[in-house]
Amino acid sequence: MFTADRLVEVIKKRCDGRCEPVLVFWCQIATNRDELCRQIEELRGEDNIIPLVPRGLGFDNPNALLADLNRLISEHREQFVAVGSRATSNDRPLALLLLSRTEFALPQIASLTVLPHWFPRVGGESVYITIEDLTRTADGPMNVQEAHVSDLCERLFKLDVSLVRRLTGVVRRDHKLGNAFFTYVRRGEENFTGFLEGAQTYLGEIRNPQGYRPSVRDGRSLVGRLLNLMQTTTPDQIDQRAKALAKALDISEGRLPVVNDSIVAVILRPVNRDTSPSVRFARNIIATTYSSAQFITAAAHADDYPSYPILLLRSLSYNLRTTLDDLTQVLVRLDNTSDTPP
Amino acid sequence: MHRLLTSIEHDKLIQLMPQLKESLNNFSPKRRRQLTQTLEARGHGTSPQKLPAAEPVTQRKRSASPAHVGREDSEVRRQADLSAELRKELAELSDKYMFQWGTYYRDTVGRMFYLTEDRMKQTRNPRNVEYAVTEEFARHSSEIFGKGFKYSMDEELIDSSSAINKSLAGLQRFLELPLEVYSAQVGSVKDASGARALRGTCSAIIAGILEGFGAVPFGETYGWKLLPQYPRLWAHYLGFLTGDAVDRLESQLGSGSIRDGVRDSVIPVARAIDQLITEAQESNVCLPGLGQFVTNSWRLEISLLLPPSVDLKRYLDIHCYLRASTVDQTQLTESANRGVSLIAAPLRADLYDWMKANEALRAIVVNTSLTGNNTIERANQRALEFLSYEIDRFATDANRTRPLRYNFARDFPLHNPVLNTYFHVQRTSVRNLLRVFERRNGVRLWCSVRRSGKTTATFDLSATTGSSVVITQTCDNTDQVSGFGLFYERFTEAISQGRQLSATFFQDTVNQCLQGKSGADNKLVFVLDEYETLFERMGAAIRKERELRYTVIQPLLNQMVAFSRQNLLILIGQRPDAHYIIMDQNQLSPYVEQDMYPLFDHTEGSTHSEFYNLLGKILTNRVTFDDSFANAVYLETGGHPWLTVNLLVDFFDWLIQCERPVGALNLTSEDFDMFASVRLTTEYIGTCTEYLWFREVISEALGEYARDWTPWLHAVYLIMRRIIEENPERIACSRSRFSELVKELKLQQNFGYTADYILSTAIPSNFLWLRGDEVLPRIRLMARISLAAHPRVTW
Repeated sequence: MFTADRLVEVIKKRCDGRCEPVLVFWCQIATNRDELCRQIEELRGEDNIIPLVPRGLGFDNPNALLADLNRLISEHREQFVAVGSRATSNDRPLALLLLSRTEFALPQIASLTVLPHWFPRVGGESVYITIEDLTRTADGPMNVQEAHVSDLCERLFKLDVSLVRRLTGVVRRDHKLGNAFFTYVRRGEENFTGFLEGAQTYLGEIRNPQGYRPSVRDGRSLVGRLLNLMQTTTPDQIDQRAKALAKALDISEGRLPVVNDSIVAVILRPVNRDTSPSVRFARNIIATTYSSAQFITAAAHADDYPSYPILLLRSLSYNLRTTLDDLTQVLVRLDNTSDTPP
Repeated sequence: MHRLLTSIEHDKLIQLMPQLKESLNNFSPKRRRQLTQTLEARGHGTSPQKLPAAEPVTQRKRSASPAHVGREDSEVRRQADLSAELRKELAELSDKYMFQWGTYYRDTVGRMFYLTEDRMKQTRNPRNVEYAVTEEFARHSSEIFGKGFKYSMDEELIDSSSAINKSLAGLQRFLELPLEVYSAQVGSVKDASGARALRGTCSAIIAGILEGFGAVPFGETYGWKLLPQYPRLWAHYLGFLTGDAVDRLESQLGSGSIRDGVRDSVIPVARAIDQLITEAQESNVCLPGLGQFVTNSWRLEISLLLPPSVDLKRYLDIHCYLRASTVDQTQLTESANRGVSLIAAPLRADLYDWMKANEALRAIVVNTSLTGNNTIERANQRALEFLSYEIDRFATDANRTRPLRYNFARDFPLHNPVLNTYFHVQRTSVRNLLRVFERRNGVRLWCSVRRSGKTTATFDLSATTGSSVVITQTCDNTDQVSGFGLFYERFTEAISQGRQLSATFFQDTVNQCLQGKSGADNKLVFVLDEYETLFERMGAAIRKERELRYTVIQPLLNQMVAFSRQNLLILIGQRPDAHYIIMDQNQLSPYVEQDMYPLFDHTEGSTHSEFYNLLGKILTNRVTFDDSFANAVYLETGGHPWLTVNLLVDFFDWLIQCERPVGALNLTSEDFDMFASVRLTTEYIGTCTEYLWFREVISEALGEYARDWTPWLHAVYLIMRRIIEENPERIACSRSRFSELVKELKLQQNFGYTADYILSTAIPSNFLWLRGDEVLPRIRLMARISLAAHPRVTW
């Protein structure tokens, strides 16, 4: 899951300001571990990072966890001796990275272990080391590469395009269907058709969908209006807005395929069940576009926010992107079936 | 040769001068230069050392008066008596109790140590006593290691390198014994003559052991050639040898870097320490308290224990670098940054220039490289100047009304197994427990809380007691003591190979673990430390490969049962339930009987209990305490050594914060109560760094992973937490409430544990305690920590 440079970066960050002489990290790796070791050794620079590959018995017994670690260290004595002189001449911790095939899920209740006498700085001393599983805890800023923010932008853009196209088609057939929805997103004296034409023009001007960031303040895009809608609505009111959007999209219940709610849509679930699948679909659109746009904005200002586990950012981004994609596909299909006479 | 030159009568020296000079041509250039200087200094009528040279009794007789002759005769008689006594005792050890370090050797060496020390205090020629003691120990050491090696080769038929490893492990154990006696006394030496006697005695015995080992032929090599290859095993004792003893040792060591390093850097420092003691004013004596050899940088670290009048600091640290190639700017700076008072190091020319330009280093570094005008004597003189200056500096700072600034308890080396030797407390309670069962057969289980001294006490048991031979093994992976992981190694090999276990696997492995002890006619007591690792590895192996159950695991369990029918098997660990694996066919578990494992014992008013001794070692000779203080600390820690150190380190921090005057360090229970009211609260314990390790471990034990992997531990910590949560003042609950808690925590529903089962297993493991109708945590401080610990959030 992680590249060599990501692991080196995360470990370097972990070592900053730490006073412990030894830090131990675990990472589950599905690819070629020896090759990854080689890459890490090339990338580590002046940092005392030692990648190791545990093989055979061990690390399956909470009582012997540190004893197993000690054995692994002894088996790789040359590597430690090679790094040893550097490790004693700077204050940076010695970071051991265990690249394993399996996940790490043991309680760390082992007794202290005595490191071999040749171990840099703390040889012959008894130490207690907590092993940190980077598979789960390796963190990074919101714009970390693994979050695929540009792809998220592009998929949000595609949904915006599909929504505008669908709403325009429905308004052309029956302008009354969109009225209720438009009352929630209208600004000033504009009419729905005029807004949709403006939104279409705006989307047509976007040259780089991978950098798409809808603006609430400009309000030229439909997604921008949905974002504003969400920000000015209480959780109890979302149901009404979702009903209006479902009507504006003219979704026939019978032809609506199942689209899984994004995780954010579930977390923002209403107190009462959605009244119909089309309302649930529309609520999913509102919640998912809102959370995607927020993710994108936070990524653009990543320095203002804390770091989060890369696994979480990656999973959330994936969930949002697949949901956006599913919603877009459904809208495209609805358009196609509506255009085709039964 | 050095001894000859310094002890020979002046007239005789002048007479033999030409021959002696000729003999010196046979030595290496550096050594020749050094000996020539000594010879010339004596030739001009001056002694190169301040210490009086040994005076052969026969030579002194000539010029003595009749009364003097009478005194000399009685001296000779007493010395002869001492030698005879030592020889008799050592001969008995050699004949009957060879290599039984933990029992007979410890007792005998202790007795001989005190005997020699007394003799040293009475005699006017302590060096003669030293030589005599060294000679006796050298003879004995040579004899037993020679016999041991021969037995390993001829009877056990093991290869030469394994036999040498066994001998080296034995040497380590033997060397520890005089150090133990020395360490127990070093803090209470009252005057210079007592210090001289203590140092001389310790030095004489250690030197004898090393010299005897050196003389042993080990196949194609000799002990003197082996010692330079394994400096880690013995070099840390060099600081406890007198200058003469180091000199003698160096002249016999096989050539190599270590020999040069000892000659250049250690001899001057050892002589300087001797001189400091000789010149000390009454109680202001400094003796080596700790010694450590850092193999990475070939650095001998000696910590001189400062006299009790010095309150600013407990030790003066000395670093002796033994190899020029391992000294560089970083090393010197690191030593200086650690507040070292003296660095003795052979410096290359460029490093020397750099050092001279550094003001801080210039004041503490002695260049021991024998180049230019440098000699051992000059280095010795410089070392003495530096050390004297430092001692004076601290002594004049002493002021009894000044607030305490130094945390003496923090010097207790919790994380350093080598230094632990100097703080070792004999666990008679554990030996007594073994005595109760050693005549029986079966499987005993001794469990106790983490860090309660199980492993240390277990290694102490590794000796024969009465008619039994005790074999100690551990499943922990450590290179601390070679040979103690043999059984576990053989077991993991068997699992890796996966072949059908031979019918005699267990017995064969036990025989290998005997390490030269004669066990054929005796009952065996096989003590296995960290036993959970063995059984959990068995479980993990079966989960990975089912076939192993039938090829290795079940046969091994059956063989252990068979062994226990005629011998005693003792399993040691933390959890009493780890042996419950493959229960449908586990033949071993039904035989397992759990005993109450003792923490450091103490009874109110006792001043010789294990716990009282431990407190003395932690608090040092700068602090006195009364019974009420000892009782209060014992009530809190229950005699758990690790937590006692943690608590007292924090106690000292509190004293420092309260600005307690150094002249008012007589501790009572009132002090402890005041400390407890502010420092033993959940809020404070939750952030105090001293309890960090226990907090982490308990957090893990309370977490979800531990619920799956170590349910017993999880359940016990859960219930301990609930007891203190409900009764924060009394820290106890009634037995009926305990049963309700077991229900409320669903311990029976989730894990099958009844209240009685938990009590019957957690009490002998030192987690809980029963007092009348009350259930309470055995270690109150641990219960407090469990309340402050947050269950780990798991993935």
